[in-house]
Amino acid sequence: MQDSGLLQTYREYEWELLRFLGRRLRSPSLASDIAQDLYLKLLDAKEPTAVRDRRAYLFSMAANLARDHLKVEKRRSEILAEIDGLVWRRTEELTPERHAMARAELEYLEAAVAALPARCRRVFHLSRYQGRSQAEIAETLGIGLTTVYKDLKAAIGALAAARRRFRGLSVADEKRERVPAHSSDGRG
Amino acid sequence: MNETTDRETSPGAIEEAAQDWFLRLASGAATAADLADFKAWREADPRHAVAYEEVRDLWNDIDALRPAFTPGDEVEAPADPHRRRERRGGGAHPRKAAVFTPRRVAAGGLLAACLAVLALFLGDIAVLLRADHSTGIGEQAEVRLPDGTLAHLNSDTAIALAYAGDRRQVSLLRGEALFEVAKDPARTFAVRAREGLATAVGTVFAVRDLAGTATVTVIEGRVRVQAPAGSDGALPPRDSGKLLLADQQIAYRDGAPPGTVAAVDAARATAWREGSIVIDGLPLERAIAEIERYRPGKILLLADTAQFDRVTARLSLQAIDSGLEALAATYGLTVTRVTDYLVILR
Repeated sequence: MQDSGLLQTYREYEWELLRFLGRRLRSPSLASDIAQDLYLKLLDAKEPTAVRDRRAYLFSMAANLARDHLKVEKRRSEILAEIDGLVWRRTEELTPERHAMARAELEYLEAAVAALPARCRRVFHLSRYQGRSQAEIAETLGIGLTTVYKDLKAAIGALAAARRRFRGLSVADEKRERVPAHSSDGRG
Repeated sequence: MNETTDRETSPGAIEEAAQDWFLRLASGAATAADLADFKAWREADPRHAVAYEEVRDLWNDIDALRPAFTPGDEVEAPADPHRRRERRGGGAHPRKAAVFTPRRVAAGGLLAACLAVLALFLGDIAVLLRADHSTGIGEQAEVRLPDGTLAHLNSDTAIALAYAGDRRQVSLLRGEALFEVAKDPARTFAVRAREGLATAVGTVFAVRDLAGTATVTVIEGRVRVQAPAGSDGALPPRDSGKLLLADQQIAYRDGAPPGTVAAVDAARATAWREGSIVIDGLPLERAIAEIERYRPGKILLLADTAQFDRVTARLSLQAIDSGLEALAATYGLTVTRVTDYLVILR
């Protein structure tokens, strides 16, 4: 298969295309990625018959690819930001009324953590405190993704159960405290 | 509503599902489809949203449990890389040196240098265990980070990487590094030095940590500097801190807000990248301290520095010792080489 006219034009204007894309995308490396995409597209596609000005045609293709890329990037970053807000507390949620978890509760949870298997603790540590993705953790520790997930689930499950037990206990405590207060009628 | 008592004692299917959703969103690989599915689940039943919030609260409330999860064999606490420099400074106290005779000073200096080298190794082990890339004294390196960012490491520098799905973070453990940040609007690039954080999207800037002071210098673009920036896990609010433009510099120390933004000739301040040290109107002892960063061992300055003019000089890193000699000569000082690791100027 002989090179299409567009491919020849591409080679002729590659430098200019790269500069053009670099200005649009504000990144030389991204520009060369997009130029590469454009080149592959030209390799795959048949040349449209009615192209008058090949150079203009190429530049509008490049502009479209760049715009699509920016759109996808923007959407992707919006999604990441939204997910981030669903996982981590946002700054505006940190109101003064929001108390940190009480020391007694933390100590109670700490005991539950100590009871977890070592690998499980390590996996959770990498995820929660080191900000590693589950895939990264699997790679770092040389274990499967499912194992990572199960360990995380076990850790969060143990913490949730401990918190529930603790709150159950403190509810009971409160009740116990309240009962004599009411019966003796001495305090208000 | 009869499930409340049940849910207090047993995990229950909703809580189970909430945990699964949470872990999926926090996986670092969640997609737009996951997000849409999650929202559909959350809206399907008011109890779902409540259960999810409980998991999220739990996740966010356990900063303090970090030590309990930290594996015992890891050096996790930010091993203080600055202690070493402080000890080095303490070992060669200029005021003390002034009352000694030169010979005793030399012996004392030698002892101090030995102690300093020992402290250096003890400090180094902790830093090097955490470091992903490091350079020795007098050594420089260029490192391509996973996202394409180019990091130039100056003499005696160590950095650690913490890249996550939506975050590119580098910790400057010690020394000085310059970053040519690869553009990625979806992931900000942040450098943590001491308690502060310098955040950029795609730009060129340098961060250094020397004698307890962190300094951020912007060469291109803009960088936000927040200090103190809070704990490792949490990112500070986006619009706090100070915004630096090209040719601006800011310094901060632990436990204090950053100083004012100062204008600087960024090309000169980062001349080390081209293999030069540029000293721009520094007092002699500070100029010597600057040179000391690039050569192994200790330089003792035994002279009353108050009488000297400020130093402006450009030294080549390749010929740093002859540069030091030339500098000493202009101040009428002689250079005595006690060992390779101890040089006395007087």
